[in-house]
Amino acid sequence: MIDVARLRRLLLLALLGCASPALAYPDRNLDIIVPFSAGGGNDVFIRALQPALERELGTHLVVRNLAGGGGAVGLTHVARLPADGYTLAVVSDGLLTQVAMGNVDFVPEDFDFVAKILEEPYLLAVSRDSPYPDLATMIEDARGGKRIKIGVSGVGSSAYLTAGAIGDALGIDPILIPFDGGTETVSAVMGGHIDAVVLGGAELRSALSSQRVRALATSYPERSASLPEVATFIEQGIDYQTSVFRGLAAPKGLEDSHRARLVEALQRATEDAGFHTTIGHLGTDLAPLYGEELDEFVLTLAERMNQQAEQLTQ
Amino acid sequence: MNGSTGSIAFNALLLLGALAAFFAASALPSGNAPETLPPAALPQAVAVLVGALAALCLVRELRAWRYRRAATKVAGRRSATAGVALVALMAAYAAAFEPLGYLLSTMGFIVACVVMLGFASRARNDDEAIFSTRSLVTLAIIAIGVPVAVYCAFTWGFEVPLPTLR
Amino acid sequence: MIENYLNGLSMISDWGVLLAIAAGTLLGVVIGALPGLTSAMAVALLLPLTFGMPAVMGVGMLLGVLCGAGAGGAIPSILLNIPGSPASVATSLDGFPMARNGEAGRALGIAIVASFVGGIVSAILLSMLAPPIAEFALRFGPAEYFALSVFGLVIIASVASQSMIKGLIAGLLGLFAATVGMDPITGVARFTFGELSLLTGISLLPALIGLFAVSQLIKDAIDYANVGSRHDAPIDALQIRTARPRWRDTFSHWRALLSGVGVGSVIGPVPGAGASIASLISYDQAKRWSKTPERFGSGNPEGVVATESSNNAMIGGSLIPTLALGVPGEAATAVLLGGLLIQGITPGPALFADPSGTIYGIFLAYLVANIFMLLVMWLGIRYFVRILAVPRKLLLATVTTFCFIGVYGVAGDIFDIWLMLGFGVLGYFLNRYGFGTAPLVLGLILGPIAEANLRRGLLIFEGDWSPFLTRPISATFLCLAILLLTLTLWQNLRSRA
Repeated sequence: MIDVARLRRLLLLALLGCASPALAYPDRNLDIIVPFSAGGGNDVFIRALQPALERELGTHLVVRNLAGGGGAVGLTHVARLPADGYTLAVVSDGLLTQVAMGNVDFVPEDFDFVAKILEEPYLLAVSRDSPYPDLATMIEDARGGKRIKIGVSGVGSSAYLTAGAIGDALGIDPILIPFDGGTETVSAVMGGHIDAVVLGGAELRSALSSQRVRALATSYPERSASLPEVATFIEQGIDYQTSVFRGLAAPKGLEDSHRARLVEALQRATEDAGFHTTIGHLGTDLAPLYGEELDEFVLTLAERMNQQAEQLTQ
Repeated sequence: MNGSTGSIAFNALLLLGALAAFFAASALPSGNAPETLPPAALPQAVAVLVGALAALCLVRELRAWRYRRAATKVAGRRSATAGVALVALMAAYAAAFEPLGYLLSTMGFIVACVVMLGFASRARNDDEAIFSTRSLVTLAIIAIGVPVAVYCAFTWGFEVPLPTLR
Repeated sequence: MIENYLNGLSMISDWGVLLAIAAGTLLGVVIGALPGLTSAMAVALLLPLTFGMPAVMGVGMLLGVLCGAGAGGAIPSILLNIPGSPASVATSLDGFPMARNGEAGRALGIAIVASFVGGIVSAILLSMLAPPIAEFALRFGPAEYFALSVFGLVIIASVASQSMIKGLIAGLLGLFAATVGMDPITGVARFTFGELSLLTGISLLPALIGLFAVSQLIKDAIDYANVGSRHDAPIDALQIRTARPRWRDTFSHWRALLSGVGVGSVIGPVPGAGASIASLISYDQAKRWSKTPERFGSGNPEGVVATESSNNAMIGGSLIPTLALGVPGEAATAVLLGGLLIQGITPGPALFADPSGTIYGIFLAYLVANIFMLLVMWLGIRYFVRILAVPRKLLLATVTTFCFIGVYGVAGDIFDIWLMLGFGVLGYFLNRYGFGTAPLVLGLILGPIAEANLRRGLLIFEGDWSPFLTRPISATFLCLAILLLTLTLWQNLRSRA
């Protein structure tokens, strides 16, 4: 394939009589594909980061929402693009879920994960009027024969898989009730139509701070600074930990020098004060991870998602 | 419109579609939630109802058709050519949207659409000058001005990138 | 109480804030008036802009967009029979016939006043009754949603234009189309044929634009070819002169106004169900309470009054659960909620007791947005009518390109454009053979709510059907649905006899 854009650029340089041999990356706009509609979690994340990242990279970011199929359309598109370093996708654990559920043709190895920037916990939460003051009473009731109804956002979503995994870890057999989105799930638990929900921290944030909903446990390995009063599963004797993550990935084959430049810019951009305020308000935590550690993180998570999906679809 | 050939064909198509949909729905797996209705339940029920109602309509249409054939011929037939041509142009526009980019494809579509409508209506309106200077100037202003304005508004106002020619 | 409002007043009486609200409203009217561009999209696109603004300023701008788009949608519905936004589908049912009868200016004038009244009433309700209404909305569980959607589906029988059977067929086609995609309960992919874009179902926007706009454009092209440019009559002086807000005219249809505002305020707060159907339901109600129901569909101003007032009342209504519980009513308020959170405003009962009084600033900002909406429309109305003076073939070509950009702009997925074209052709034939497109849309919107909640309810009740009939709200709606259906069938039989 002839790279038309590069040819055109070379031609332009030749015309200008400029003979610079190696152009500094990035020398033109970067395309950022958000596989969801504007206004969602992934979209707000990149738009909050955009000003700082543009400053650090010294170029313009063109954020494009390519929604459809719960992220499948946009990610499939990116996986097929050339790895020239000029297209990045905003990714979350939803990518791994899509693969695990067998909805898509790509695999995690089709991407080079550049960075994990944000994390939020999955919370097991109940209404403020719930009969369960803590996790132990819920487990006791469930082992006594009651089937706990746990609401999740969307069938086959990450939250759905996680709720299944939490049920297994607790040693109970809940009925998973899929709702169309996070807000529908939250209002169902507030109204007492279901017993509990498993949702990401950001989706539960407003319900938690208005004290309409209580979190029984967080999926973080340690208590988070933003929710210090919520105990972890591990603390309560349940061997379970996971988290929602958001970050950036490129099509497979990203040059090392490009990756290094991106990581450097991201490291500095995430220190931006405005970005910190925004993510704080949203109920997410800054948890950057790059390079090999990131690859390992992704592989472990993918493995777990696959196992969970297998159990569910049996 | 009762009893026209088109109406009969449309009802027949609905009936066939309902049949096909019913069988497609029957092939759906049942999922793994035994407490509730299977995924195939609603599509199947809807397909049955559509089929039954369409069959009923078809019977009525056929009766009306026999009656009409006996009575009079259809008067004042309207030509649907312009509609077909518009759909074809829209399809071409959709196909060109990403490869040619927003600006070129949109300009091309506006010009093609206006020219097509001009020709389509000429048969009935001999008095109208399609290619008068004045209308050509208006066409040029709209065909270039509107896409450029929209492009600018999206690219710089909303920061939504539109496809461009690469 | 008064103190809180005075405090709120001081928050918004700032040139920057007022300017932001005005700009938001103006943009909203434009977005609402362009078929394909929706307020949800506009709010999402403006969101990053509000990051750096003070809370009331940023939220006020977004509220302006919502408010302006609610009213702007009426313009193309009335003038071109092409709804600018999903919520103004019902406006075209009577607005366009009015324009055809040479009353375009009057129809717009009525629409403006009705929108304004609906908006103001809902702003007052919002500021006084938000917490209790929000508590009531929480009582809607799967059973209640199912019953509500069944109640909504019954309306198919009354929006069916010519033949009840054909209307039902169209409604069922909508229900069927709604089953495409990943089944919401078990995750089984239904009728997607391996197309990734269909996994999340048929997107509503392309379907709506196809059914209402593209089908109308096809019909316009055929009409144009057969009748020609005699359509392009110069705007007669009457339409320009009568193009101004029609206060007395609107208030003289007080029944329709009351039913519009009532239905909008009641349905708007129900999360996830209300937004797109409120105007259709209030159209149906206005028809029932009207003294001249037979004139609906042929240019009855009551139809425009009912739909446009409910349209804007619904916006205030949908803000109630958003602000009081953090549970948004529909897509646009969902994005707005994101905007609130980013501003550090946490919705919930606590927000209403917050000593900073931000919430009162927001109430007043919404009120001001409604006033700006009235001004924008008032000043703009004379120019809107001039759309009719644009040569028909140019208008047709340009509107088509707006449909394309609107559908493409939301998701950037070219598949949506093909979907829109498919629905456009289907819609053309449905209209031509007397099936109508409004029932299909009702089926498409309500189908997933009905099906998912029925099956979700069965999951929760562990296979037991009886709670659907014994829970009070659910039982009430089901009874009302049966009552309405009987009434419609009876009226239908009587009018035939």
